[in-house]
Amino acid sequence: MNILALVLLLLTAPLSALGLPSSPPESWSMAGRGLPVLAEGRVMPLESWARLLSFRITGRENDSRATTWLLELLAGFESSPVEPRFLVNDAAILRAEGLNFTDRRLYSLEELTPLLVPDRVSALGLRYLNDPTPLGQEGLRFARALESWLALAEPEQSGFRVFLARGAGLTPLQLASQTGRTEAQTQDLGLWLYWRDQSQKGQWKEAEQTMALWSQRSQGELGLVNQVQLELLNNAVPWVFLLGLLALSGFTTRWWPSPSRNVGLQSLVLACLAVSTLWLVIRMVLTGRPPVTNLPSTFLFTGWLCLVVATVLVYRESGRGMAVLALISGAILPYFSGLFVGGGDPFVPPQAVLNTNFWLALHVSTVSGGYAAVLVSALLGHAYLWNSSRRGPGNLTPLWKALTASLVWGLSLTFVGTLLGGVWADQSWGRFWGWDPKENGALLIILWTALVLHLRATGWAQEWGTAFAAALGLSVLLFSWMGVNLLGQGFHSYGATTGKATLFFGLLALDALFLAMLAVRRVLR
Amino acid sequence: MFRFGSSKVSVVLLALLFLELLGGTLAQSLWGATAVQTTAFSQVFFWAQGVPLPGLPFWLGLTAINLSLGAWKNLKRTWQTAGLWIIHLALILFCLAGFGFAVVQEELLLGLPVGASSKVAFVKDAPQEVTRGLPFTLSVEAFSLPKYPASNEPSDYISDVRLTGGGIDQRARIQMNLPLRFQGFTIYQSSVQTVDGQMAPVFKITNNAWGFLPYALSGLLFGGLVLHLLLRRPGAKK
Repeated sequence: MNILALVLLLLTAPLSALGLPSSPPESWSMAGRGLPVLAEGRVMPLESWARLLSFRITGRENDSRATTWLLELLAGFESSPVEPRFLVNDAAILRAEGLNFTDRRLYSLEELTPLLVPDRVSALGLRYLNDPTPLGQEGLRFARALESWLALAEPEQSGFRVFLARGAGLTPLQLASQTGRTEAQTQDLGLWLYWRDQSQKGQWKEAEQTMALWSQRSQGELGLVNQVQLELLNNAVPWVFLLGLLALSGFTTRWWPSPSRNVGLQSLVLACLAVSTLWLVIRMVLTGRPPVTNLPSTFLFTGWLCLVVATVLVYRESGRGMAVLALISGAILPYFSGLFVGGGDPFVPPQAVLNTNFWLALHVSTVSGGYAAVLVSALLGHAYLWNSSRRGPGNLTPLWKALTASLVWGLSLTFVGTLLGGVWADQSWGRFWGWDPKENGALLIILWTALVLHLRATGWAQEWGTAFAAALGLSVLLFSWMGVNLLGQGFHSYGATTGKATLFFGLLALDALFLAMLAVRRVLR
Repeated sequence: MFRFGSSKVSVVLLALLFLELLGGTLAQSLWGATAVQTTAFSQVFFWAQGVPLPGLPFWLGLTAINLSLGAWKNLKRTWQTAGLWIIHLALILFCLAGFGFAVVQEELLLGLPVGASSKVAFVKDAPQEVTRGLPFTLSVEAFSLPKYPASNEPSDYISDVRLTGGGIDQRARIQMNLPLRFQGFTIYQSSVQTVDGQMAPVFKITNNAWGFLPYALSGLLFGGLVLHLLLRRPGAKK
């Protein structure tokens, strides 16, 4: 150990000799993470804002260093000019600007200095504004990242506001230069300047206490339901959920003692449903909208619906195996949400065209209900094929009945939800149907589900064949629900999405391989 | 074996509709949404690399015929199948409406800066500039783009307009999700454009006498579904 400590000591010694303050301890960042900030159209904790900016500039998701980095910038520390921090997924964008770099992912402030001028950044954004190619999308993403950086460097133009005590929204620069302040603002200004001063001197303990006090007062001003505290709680919910999943994996590997197995499973399902419900309620309070407002939130909502199904099934003798399936889908689905968080903010206010709570609640909730039913039917199809390959077709009647019922519900709800979407589109934009990729996706699910339900009537497929087609519905559902958003239509930054698209289509390929193996096994038998 | 009205033909048609829609959606990611919307999704036949191929309206038309014959031949004429009859009727009419709208529907676009007026609008997605006259003059008196706090994202598009002509002089407001309905026309806030450095609203204008049809058919289909589920619920009188 001690060699590493010695090396670290030797490396940091020259800095100490120059009289620079040491790096801030974790407690300094922890004190500032809950500071309310008005940015990106809503009030959020500084931690969320820091992660959002870090994602936008560096491409790092859930950057654990983001809060410290942003607080250091606000405290007046210069960003390192040579640290590679700016994500550029295609160096052709830089070469077009006269910067001759070879392809790599990250570039430093020093390397990008010629571009960091407001006029050049605006020109860069305009150049790629209407370019639908991957290069154009990446160019636009990069221009937006540079805009965010410039806004940080010039706080008076940034648009963000530290949400101070007494409700005054002021930029840090306004704080520092303001005259004619009220008494309350004078106190805030005093705290802010003291915090900066102590931070600059490396007096982290004093700065930490000041920020904690300021943060507490500012949060207190937000009222009884404190959005900032709720959002910090929301950031912790996935970890609780993950614990539930771990418990589930233990359960399904049969280490759970047999006599208490059913009670254990029931408790687990109820606990997961409670956490998932809490998650949705927090989301609704934070956004002031229905639980589903955008694509990422449909995964949370659909996962919740799967858990409701699991809760119903787990109390039936014949339904426990199926309850495990519903529980798995309910627990895994929310993690897809993170793949599609546009711009890095899960609570981003909706675009003007979607800014209507009535239609969001009605259309998206119904369609998500349909997706949940189709998902459950596809998983039941997998379970049918798996059990059939291991034990033969006997005693699969409950599974078969549940599969058929899920398909009927899936078809009905998706159809009604899609019609409601058509009515929304007609009421708001003047067309019932426009063959938009997302609309096509919903219709693809309807057509496939109708096809599966008609297969048996033709005699072309018996139970096994119909279950196989229902299992293939998983790929249809995932492609229509998420895949159309990964086809380069610009929902997410292309750099971050390219890898995810590979992962997503890789998962689909794996599922196809699994189903093909089961089919081959049946033919050989 | 493959006779119109049989469930086998239904399965084949559903599969063909599925494949064409899937292919078209993938093609949209390569060539843009509009390129496929105006060809494979709206023409009975379209040309792909010099080869004529049937478009979605073709398959929708065949599906309507098959559904009609299938319902007539296979569905029993009893109270128990009333829901299924209504569902089939609504689906047939939906296919026909989809076929018809794809062929005849026309949408107009009109971008106007503040202070400007127009009595004509442009046909959307026309290969060359085509205009249509309006029975009124549309003027824009004010336009605003309120934004979410501390953000550049607009929360709404608001246009204050004036409609004149034919003895009418009326002021109104058009917002995103709140169109203006006037003399059979519906005027929607569609997008914005920049004219001489000034933000100008773009309106979409429709005048579709059959616009009520999707609502009526949705209601019919929903009613059929509910009736069918009620008649087939466990314990229902057979």
